[in-house]
Amino acid sequence: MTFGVPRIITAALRGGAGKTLITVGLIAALRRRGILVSAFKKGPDYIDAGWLGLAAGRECYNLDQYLFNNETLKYSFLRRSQGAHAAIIEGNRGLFDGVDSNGSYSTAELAKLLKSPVILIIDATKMTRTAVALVLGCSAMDSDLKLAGVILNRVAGDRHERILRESIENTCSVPVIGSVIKLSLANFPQRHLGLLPLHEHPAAAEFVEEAGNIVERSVDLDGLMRIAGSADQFGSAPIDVSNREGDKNRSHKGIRVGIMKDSAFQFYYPENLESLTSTGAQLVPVSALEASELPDLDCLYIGGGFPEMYAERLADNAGFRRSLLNAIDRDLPVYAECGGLMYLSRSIRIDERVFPMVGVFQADTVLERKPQGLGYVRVQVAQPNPFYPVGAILSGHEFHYSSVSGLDQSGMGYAFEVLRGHGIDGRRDGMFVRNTLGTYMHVHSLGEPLWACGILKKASEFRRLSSVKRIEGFRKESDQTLTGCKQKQHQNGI
Amino acid sequence: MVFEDTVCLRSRKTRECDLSQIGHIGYENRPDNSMQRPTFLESELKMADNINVPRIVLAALKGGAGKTFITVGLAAALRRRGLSLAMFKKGPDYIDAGWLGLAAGCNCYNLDAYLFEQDVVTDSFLKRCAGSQAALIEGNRGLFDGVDSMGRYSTAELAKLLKAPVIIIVDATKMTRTAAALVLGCKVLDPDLAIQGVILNRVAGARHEKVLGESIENVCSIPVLGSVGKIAVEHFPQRHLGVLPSHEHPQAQGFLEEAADVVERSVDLDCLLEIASCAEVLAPRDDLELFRDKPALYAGLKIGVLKDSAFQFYYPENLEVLSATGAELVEISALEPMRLPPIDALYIGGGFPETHAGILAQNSVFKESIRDAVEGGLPVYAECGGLMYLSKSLRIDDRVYPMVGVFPVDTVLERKPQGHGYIHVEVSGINPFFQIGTSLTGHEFHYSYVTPIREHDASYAFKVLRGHGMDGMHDGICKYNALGTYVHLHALGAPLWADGILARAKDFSKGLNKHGKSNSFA
Repeated sequence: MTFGVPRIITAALRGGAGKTLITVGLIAALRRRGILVSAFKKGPDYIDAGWLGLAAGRECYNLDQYLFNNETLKYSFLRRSQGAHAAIIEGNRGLFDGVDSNGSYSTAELAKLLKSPVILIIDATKMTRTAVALVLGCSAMDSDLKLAGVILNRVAGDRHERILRESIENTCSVPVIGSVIKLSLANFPQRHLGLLPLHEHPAAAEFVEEAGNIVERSVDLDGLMRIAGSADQFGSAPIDVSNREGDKNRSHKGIRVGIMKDSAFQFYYPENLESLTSTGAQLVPVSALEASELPDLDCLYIGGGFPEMYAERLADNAGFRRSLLNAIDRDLPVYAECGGLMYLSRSIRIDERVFPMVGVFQADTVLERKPQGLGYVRVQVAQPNPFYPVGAILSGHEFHYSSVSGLDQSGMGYAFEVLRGHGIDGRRDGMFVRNTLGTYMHVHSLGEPLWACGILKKASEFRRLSSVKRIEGFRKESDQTLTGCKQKQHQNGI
Repeated sequence: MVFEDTVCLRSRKTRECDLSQIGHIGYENRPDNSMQRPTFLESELKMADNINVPRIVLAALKGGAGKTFITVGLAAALRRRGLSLAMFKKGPDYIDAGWLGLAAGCNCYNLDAYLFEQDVVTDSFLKRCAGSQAALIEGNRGLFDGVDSMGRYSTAELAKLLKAPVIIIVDATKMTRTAAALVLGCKVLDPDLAIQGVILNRVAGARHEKVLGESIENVCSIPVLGSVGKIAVEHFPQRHLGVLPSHEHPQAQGFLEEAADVVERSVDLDCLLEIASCAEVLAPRDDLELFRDKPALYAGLKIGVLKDSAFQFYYPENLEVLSATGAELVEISALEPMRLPPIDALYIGGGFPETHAGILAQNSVFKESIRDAVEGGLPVYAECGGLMYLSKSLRIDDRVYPMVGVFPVDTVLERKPQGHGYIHVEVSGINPFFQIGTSLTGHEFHYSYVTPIREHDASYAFKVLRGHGMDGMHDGICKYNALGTYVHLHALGAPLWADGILARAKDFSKGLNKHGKSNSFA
C-alpha cells in the first residue's frame, strides 16, 4: 500500500529557535485557506502538541520512535492523517539530535522514515551569511534527507533578510520560503509557548490567530504546499486503517474509568484515552478542584499537570481528598503519573509553603527550581504490583521539577527498578499502596500496550469484587440493624 | 581515532616550528605603557625573513555564543603559563578589546579590514606580534558574516588573510549532534579556511559533552579541544562583558582569574598551542610603512586626552599616532575639580558620560575651563561620549544634567541604539581638522542623539553617506576650533585624522588662533 498525503516536517538547529510558534502559525494559516491539516509532534511533549492541536482544530498526535516501534509509528501517522489535505509534523530539538552520537531517533530519522520533506527553521539572531554554512552542513550531513526549504526566524529587518536570502540562495540549492521578522514577535507571548499548558492561557485562540497572521505575512504558503506535495509515496504493509479489530471488542463495556481532568491535571495522550475506551469502557471526567466527592468508579487515571499551580485549591478541597482516600482504602485501582503522584503524596512543598494533599503515599513532594528528571526513562518491573507483570520492561518519558522526600516505606512498595533516567531517586519508581500506583514515568499507549490492559483488568476485578462486597455489605448492614434492634430492645428492658 | 591522528600529525609539524624559535623578533614590547612611543628596531625586523608567530582566530557561528568570555579565559590562562601574548580583536569594538587587553596583559589591537586597507591589517598584525610568543585574534559575529551576502570582511576572510588557524566556539545550548552539521557546514562553505579545532560552550553535563564530542569528531574529523560547562559560565558576571568597559568592572581581576580557571579546567591548552604553532608562514611586505620611525615634527606640543572612568574609548593606535611625531600626551580627568593644564589640543574619546552624568555635571571648574579654552581657540576633537559632554545638557529619562555647553545642542539618551555600525561621511563644511571633500570611514555606536542646531554660530562639517550620525544626514558639529562627532575614526583607517589635530595644535601653540571667540569662522 502506498500513501501520499502532502506533508512536511519542521525542524530547527536547536531547541528554542521558535519552531513551535511558526508551526502553529503554519497550521493556522493553512486551515484558514480551507486546508484540513493533520498535526503531529515528534517526541513525547504534550504542551506543544496541545498548541498544534488547537491550531489544527483536531487532536495533535505524538510520533516517537524511541517509545514506539517503526511500524506502529507509521501506522499511527497513516491512520491519523487519513482524509487530511496535508500533514504537518513538528520536529524536536536540533534536526540531527537523537539519544546518542549517531543521532538515533532524531527528527532527521523521523523525516526519512515518513519520507517527509524538511523545512529548516533558522534562528537568524546575530548571524548573517554564516546561516549558509548551517544549511550546507545539514545537506552535507545526510544526503538521504530531503531538505526542501528554509524559513528564517527572528530577522532584524529588510537588510538582514536580503543578505540572508541572497547568501543562502546563491550558495545552497534550498529555497528560502519565509522570513519572520523579530519585531512581529514582540507582542507574542512566546515564552508561554512550551511553558504554560493550553487551558491556562486566557487568550489561547487569539495567540493561534496571531501566529497565523505572522505566518501569512511572512511565509510563501503556496511554496510550502508545493514542497509538501512533492513528498514521495509512502510505502507500508497493507493495513486497514479505518476498521481496527479492537473496535469490535466490547469486553469492558460498563466499566467506568475516571479521568482527572481539570486545570491542574491535563496531560493525557489522546491515544491513552482511546486505548482505555476502545473495548467499551466509559470515561468519567473528574475535577479535583470542583468535585465535592469522587463519583462511582471502577478505576481512576490521574495524568500529569501542574498541581503546584493549584496547590492551594487542591488542598482546600478537603472533602474530595478524603473521598478519594476512602476509595483508595477500599482498593479502588488508581494509576497516577507525575502530577498525579504529587497529588497522592502527603503534601506539596513550594518554597516555604506546605500544602496538604491526599496522603496515600507516605511521602512529601518538594518542588525544586531545576528539573529533577527530564528525558526518556526505562524501568524494569521488579515487584508484584496492581498493574504490570514482574519482569516487564517499560519505556516512557519523565519531566518533573519535584522530588520526593520524607519517605516512610512501611506498607509501600516500589514496582519499578530504574534502568535509565531518574524516577523517584535514580533507582526506583512506581510506588504503590493497595491498588494505587504513582510514578514519574509517563507511558504512551502506542509504546506500552500493557498499560491499558493492566488498568482495565484491575478495574474489571474491582468491579466484580465490589459488587460482591456490596452484596456482603448489604447483608452485614442488615445483620447490624438486627443486632442494633436487639440491643435496643434489651436496653429498653424488653 | 580521528582525534589522536590529528594530534599526532600536528605534533610532527610542531617540531618544525618550535615555540622557542619564533616570535622573538627582537624589538621591545611595551604592553603596559600605551602612551609611550613603541621602539622599533627596524634593522632586526628586516633580518627576519619571515614572521611566523603561533596564532589562532577564535570564531563562533553567531554573536552571543560566549566567544569573548572564552577568549579572555584563554588569554589569561596562557599568560599564567608565562607566554607573552599579542592580542587582537576583529572589528571596531573596544569594550571586548579592553577585556582582552586586560587578560593578555598588553594592549589589544583592533584589526578591521573594512576600516583599514588590507595591507595595513597585515602590517599592523605583524608589527604587534613582534616580540610575542603567540597571538590570539578574537573574531566577531558569525564566522562568515561580513557586510554583504558575499561575506566580505568576515572573520573567515581575516583568518585567511593572516593565514591563521580557526577555532570555532560552538554554543551547544539545546543541541547535540546537530552541532556536527554546523561545523561540517563551515568546512564545506570554505575549504580554504583552516578550521582546526572546536571549543564547546554552555555544555549541560558529561553526557552532553560526550555526545557532542563524539559526533563532531566522527563527522568532521576536527578535534574538540575543550568543553566549557554552562554552569561555570553562568557563575560569572558575563552580562557585563560587552556592556561595561573593563575599568568599570569592580571585580575585573577576580573575573579574569576565574575565566582563566574555567579555561584551564576545560580546554586542552597544549593542543591549542600546537594548532597555533602550525600556522603557515606570513611573509611581511617589502615596504613596511607602519614599521618606520617618523620624524619628530611636532616635538614640544602637548596633546590633552580625557581619560577617566567616564571617557576611556581610545584605540591605542590613535594615541600612538598622535605621539609618534614628537608630541607629548597629557592625560586629564574630567571628574577632578581642576582646570585644564596647559595643552595645545584636546582629544575626548568615547565612553559612558551617562554613567557619570552627576559628577560630570557638578564639576563646574573643569567644565568652565574647557569652555574658556574652546572660546580661546583650543583645538578640540570630541567623539561620541566627548560630543555628549560638550553639548549643553544630557537628558537621561526625566533628569537633565548640564554639560560643558560648547555646542548649542542637547543630548538625549534613548533606550535603543540610535546608530550602530560602519559610517561613511563626506566632509562638506568648513572645519578645523579635515579638508572639504575628504571621505572618512569610521564606526558609530550610540544610544544618544543630539537635538538639531538652531543657532548660527555652529555648523555641520559632515554629510552622512552611510550610517546614522546625528540625524541620518549630518554629523560633525563645529564651533570655534572644536568638532564633535558620533564617528569613531581609527588612525590606521584615517591617517589624515592625526595630521589635522597636530597641525591645529601647532597653530595654536604659535598663537595662530584662527577660530577662537574673537575670530570665529562660523
